[in-house]
Amino acid sequence: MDEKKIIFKDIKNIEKYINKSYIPIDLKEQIQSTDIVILPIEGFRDYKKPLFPRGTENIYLYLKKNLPPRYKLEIAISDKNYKELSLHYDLIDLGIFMLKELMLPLFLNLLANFAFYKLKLKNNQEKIKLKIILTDKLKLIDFEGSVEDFKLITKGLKKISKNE
Amino acid sequence: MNEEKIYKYLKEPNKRNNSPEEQNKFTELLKDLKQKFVKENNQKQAKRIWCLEQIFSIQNVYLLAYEYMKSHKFYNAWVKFGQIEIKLSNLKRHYKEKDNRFYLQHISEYTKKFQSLYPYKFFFSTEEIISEKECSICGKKISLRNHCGHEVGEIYNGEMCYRIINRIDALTGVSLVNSPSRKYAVAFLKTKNGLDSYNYSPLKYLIRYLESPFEKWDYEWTTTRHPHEFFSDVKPEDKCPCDSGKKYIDCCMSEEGILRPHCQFFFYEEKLKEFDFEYSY
Repeated sequence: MDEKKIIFKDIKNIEKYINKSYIPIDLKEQIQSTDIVILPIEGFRDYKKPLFPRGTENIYLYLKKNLPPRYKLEIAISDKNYKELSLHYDLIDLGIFMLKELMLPLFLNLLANFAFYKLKLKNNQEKIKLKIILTDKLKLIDFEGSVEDFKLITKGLKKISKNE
Repeated sequence: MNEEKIYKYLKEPNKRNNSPEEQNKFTELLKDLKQKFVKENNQKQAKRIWCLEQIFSIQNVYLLAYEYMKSHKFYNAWVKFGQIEIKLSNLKRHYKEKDNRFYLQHISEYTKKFQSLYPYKFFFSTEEIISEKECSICGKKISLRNHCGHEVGEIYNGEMCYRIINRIDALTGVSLVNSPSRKYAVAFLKTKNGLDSYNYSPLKYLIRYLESPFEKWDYEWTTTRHPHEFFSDVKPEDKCPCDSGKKYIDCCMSEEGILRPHCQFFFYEEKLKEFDFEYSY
């Protein structure tokens, strides 16, 4: 099986994710102090504008509703320019998220709850794709695998995050 | 019809009168009952009736899929099985059947089994960029920061919330995939015999012996060797019909037969003895 599962990559800085012309100036400022930021996909085929995977609206609302009030969530786009990319095959792209490592256990808990209770994902029926950028560690976590792998990796990442 | 009769009707999908008139009557009955609860703002009861509507619909679509299979309209049945999957998925976050009382467990299990016997391997999948959606409940345009609050998949006033796509900016591509979300988009190859040249033999074989959509059966894929005479047009240098990728001369030619897939069906109901339950192709 040629699944990529999980890849860790070093990144130079996070500015390249924030200094974008499509993010309004006031939102750019807010993002600096936001705990979880949802980022768009860029450069999909020949399409120039930023896109979010199908269903990002539902993840955004779920996180907004379930994050403790002291944490802030943002999406790096204005409402007007929000567009979803819909790919009709069995790969569930949860999106790209930017957060501090400290937020990782809470974030993964919420995301797993969303995936298993809202999307009702079943073992090995669907594949999941997800990217997490850890702003303080300058790491990119790139995951693509089965629901079962997602469960294992979620547990593993939470452990690593707690032990460090 | 009182509530007790409604449940009895849903518990006997194979025995009840399933004429279109009766089905319409039952649909209207549920609709009226739901309206009554909506007027009383009894959201819990309205949601319960929505669940019953879905159960009724799932049963009917399954019965229809079975009828299509019986009349060898296999693609039509495939489309219906795809609809059942979606309907079951919508229902399961609101209702969990504990004891197969409405046959949902059976329908779920056998929908998958029937699907697994289909020869379809490739499907078309479109890539779309959606720029405007509205809420099916309130009709409000979806805006992330000024959201109507209705959640996709939740039930409001006895109706499930979904999104209506109003604007697609671009269709960026069409791909051929093997695990689509839109299962109806089967890739067909047009041949001189028509559009549908797929081999439905295992399904044809199975459906011939099924006496009810709710009959239990199982199957097992194995391999068996077929006589060389069945493949008399294959030359030694041709690819081996066993699909190994090797030349016939280097593969099955020296064996007692050619290795081919073999499907063995198991029925739980007693059948006539002369029926042969094994099928190879």
